[in-house]
Amino acid sequence: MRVSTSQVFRNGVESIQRSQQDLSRTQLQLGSGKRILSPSDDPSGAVKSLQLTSAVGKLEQYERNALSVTQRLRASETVVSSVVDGLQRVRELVVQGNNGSQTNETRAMIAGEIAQVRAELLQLANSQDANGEYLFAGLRSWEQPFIDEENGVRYAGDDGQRAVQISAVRTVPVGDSGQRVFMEIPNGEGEEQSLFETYARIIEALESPTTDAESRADLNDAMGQALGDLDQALGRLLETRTSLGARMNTVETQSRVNEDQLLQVKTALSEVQDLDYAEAISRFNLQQTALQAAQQTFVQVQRLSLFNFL
Amino acid sequence: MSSGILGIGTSGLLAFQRGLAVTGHNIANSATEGYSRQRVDLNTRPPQFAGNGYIGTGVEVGGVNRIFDQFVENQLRTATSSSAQYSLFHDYAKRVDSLLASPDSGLAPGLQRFFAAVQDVATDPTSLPARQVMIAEGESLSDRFGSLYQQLENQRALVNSQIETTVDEINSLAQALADLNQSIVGATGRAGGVPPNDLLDQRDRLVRELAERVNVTTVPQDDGALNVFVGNGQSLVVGSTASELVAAPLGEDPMQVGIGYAGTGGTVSDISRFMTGGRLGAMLDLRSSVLDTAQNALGLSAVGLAQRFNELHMQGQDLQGMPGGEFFKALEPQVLARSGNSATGVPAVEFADTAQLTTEDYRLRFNGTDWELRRASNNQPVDDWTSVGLAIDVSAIAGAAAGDSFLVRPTRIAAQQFGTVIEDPRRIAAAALSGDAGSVGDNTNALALAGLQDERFLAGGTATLEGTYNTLIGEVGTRTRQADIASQSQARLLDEARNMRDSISGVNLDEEAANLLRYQQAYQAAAQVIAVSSTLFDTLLMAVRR
Repeated sequence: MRVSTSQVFRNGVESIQRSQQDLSRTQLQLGSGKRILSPSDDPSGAVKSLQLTSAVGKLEQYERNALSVTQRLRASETVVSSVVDGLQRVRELVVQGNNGSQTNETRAMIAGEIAQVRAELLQLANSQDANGEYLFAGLRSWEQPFIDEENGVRYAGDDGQRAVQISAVRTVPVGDSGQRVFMEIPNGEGEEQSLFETYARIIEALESPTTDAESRADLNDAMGQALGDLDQALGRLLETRTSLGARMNTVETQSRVNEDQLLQVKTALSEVQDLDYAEAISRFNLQQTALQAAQQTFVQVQRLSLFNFL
Repeated sequence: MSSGILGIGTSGLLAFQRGLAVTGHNIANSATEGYSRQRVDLNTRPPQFAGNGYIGTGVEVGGVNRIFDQFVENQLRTATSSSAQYSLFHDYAKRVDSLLASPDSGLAPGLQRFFAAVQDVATDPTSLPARQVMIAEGESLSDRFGSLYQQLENQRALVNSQIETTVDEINSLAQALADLNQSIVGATGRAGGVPPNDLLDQRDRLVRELAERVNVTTVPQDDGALNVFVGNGQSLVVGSTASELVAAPLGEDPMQVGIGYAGTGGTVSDISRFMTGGRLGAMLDLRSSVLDTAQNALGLSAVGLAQRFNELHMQGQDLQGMPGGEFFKALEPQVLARSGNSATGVPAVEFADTAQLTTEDYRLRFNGTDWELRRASNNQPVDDWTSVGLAIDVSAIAGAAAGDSFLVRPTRIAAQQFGTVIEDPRRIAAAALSGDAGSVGDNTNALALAGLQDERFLAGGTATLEGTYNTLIGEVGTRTRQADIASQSQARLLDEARNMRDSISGVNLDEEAANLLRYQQAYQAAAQVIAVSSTLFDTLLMAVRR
């Protein structure tokens, strides 16, 4: 084929430009560390990387949720444990108070200590979390749930429970209704009685002086019933604590699953969007050589002319 | 006898002088775009009979021809047109491509952050800071929608002004071609049919520049003129007269520049859809297949989110026990009336079923008795108006005449309109509607709102919000990639066509140098012949004198 001078010139310039384009692209890739500079480089890869990025975001959000759930469950558990401690102390005091060696005065002192435990219980049942939400108010979490009135403690919360998402398909209930934990505890007579009521009855029984065998027997009966009621309450509290523990376990297990998934998704994301540096650097070297070759041949070819010999 | 030699020598001198001139002309134009190298055709002069045989009488210039192949030129023109089209399309599509997926401006990160904030409210429904963050993320999502819309709109403005500029260029090229046609017809006539090579080169170059802007077809005339047609047969240049294209809004949208052709009688007809190839074809194609699609798809996400989120939000209860209001601003479809409508009033168009919405635009046209709804993309009729996810009420239109039309773009400007209306964080309806003002810790509705991130409530219940946006990115990415591949292969075809043309018509300086030598030596030799003939004459004179 015949070759014209402008063709030689243009082809030379164009091959330099092409080499420069390739080189500049690789340079951008190396600079950003990304294989895909814009979606058109690999449309399906780009969409895949967006989906994976979104999955990473969701998993990280579930982790945040799990952390917050754990904090709340742990706070509830601490409260329940303290209540259990108090209850066990009351149980000891009841046994002590029922002892024949006690006098009316010593029993009144015991009753005083139980009244203190009851006051503590009221405080514990009205515990708040860091956000100022009452832990045992159900969904009415801004109002103080347990109100000490003349005729006993009234529950102002509800029996709702809030669920928090810890994976795409899994929610965990946080916050327990105070109604169930402290109020509706079955007593020996087949009725429901609150722990406050149980304490109040014990205090009342211990405070009433024993003067004769009859009142002595009444105290005995009352203490016997109190022990039964306390055991019922203890059962409910331990049940609550177990449930809280089980939920914390669930969250922890799910958290581990989430972390595993996060690692997998991040690995997949890196495979889709990250640059293979070894490949890119060797490509860069190759392209650099190609550009130098194009430049050198251009200069050499341009020097060739018959006019040089005329 | 000697006068014969003198004549032969002189004819050689003249011919080689012409040869040197043409070689010089070639050398001078070796860098001129579109120049075809020229050659002197040398013929022997008719011989004279001298009794014992025919004696040669020297050389004459048969003509100066340009070395040119019409087939190759046509190929180059087509390749120029396609290459310009795809490379410009790619340049513009690439900007949209990068814009949509950028972590700074793209929608995906905004959606993710917004829904993370909704999750935080679901985890801590009574936390005012969490609620405040959710509103702030809603506003920043609005900003993303708005800025994406605006950047696409900027591209559209750029495309529209490119279209106007290109039409101006086409018009002035057409005028230049008409003028050149006149010169060529005149020059050819004066030379008795011999074509003016340099003018033909100039004209081919102008046609090529025209083809770079839009597809053209040419029909050569016997008198040397070249007629040029665009679109589906609209004459742009006939002989020495040029027609003008008009770039102006021709449809319902006053911002949408179309291509008009002023026919006989001065009526301007819209020929936009016939304009293919070249830069104009690229711009028109880009506007409809990339910008319209992108803005409509972006709007679809905006409408979907605003409608569905509000719907759920209004089913909930806020921190003060009140039923939830709108979280996002309620959006409306865009309705544009054709400028020549005789009807008064506009159709009332509202969003009905978000799941049925698509990125399609519709045209509502009065056929004389009824209003018809047709898809804007392919003009296909829509029988059941509710099937497009809109509630359209034409009862407010009066005095309609046949041909009156309205353009309905359900989601075109939705991304621009998108915004939050909620300001008070306590108004976020995180709880289920219970009427109990105290159940502030309830997160039932917030969970449902957070669940929207993964709910398939678009495209007939097959796509999530992110999915819809990802589809757009995939589509634009694929189109850009195709344009990239096409522009590269067209560039190669253009290279080949140019190489082909240059190989035939281009000047090779070495070849011209050789010709220069050849003609120079021949010229010197012819001068020697004259010298010899003069010596012969002197010899004879001396012989006679003696």
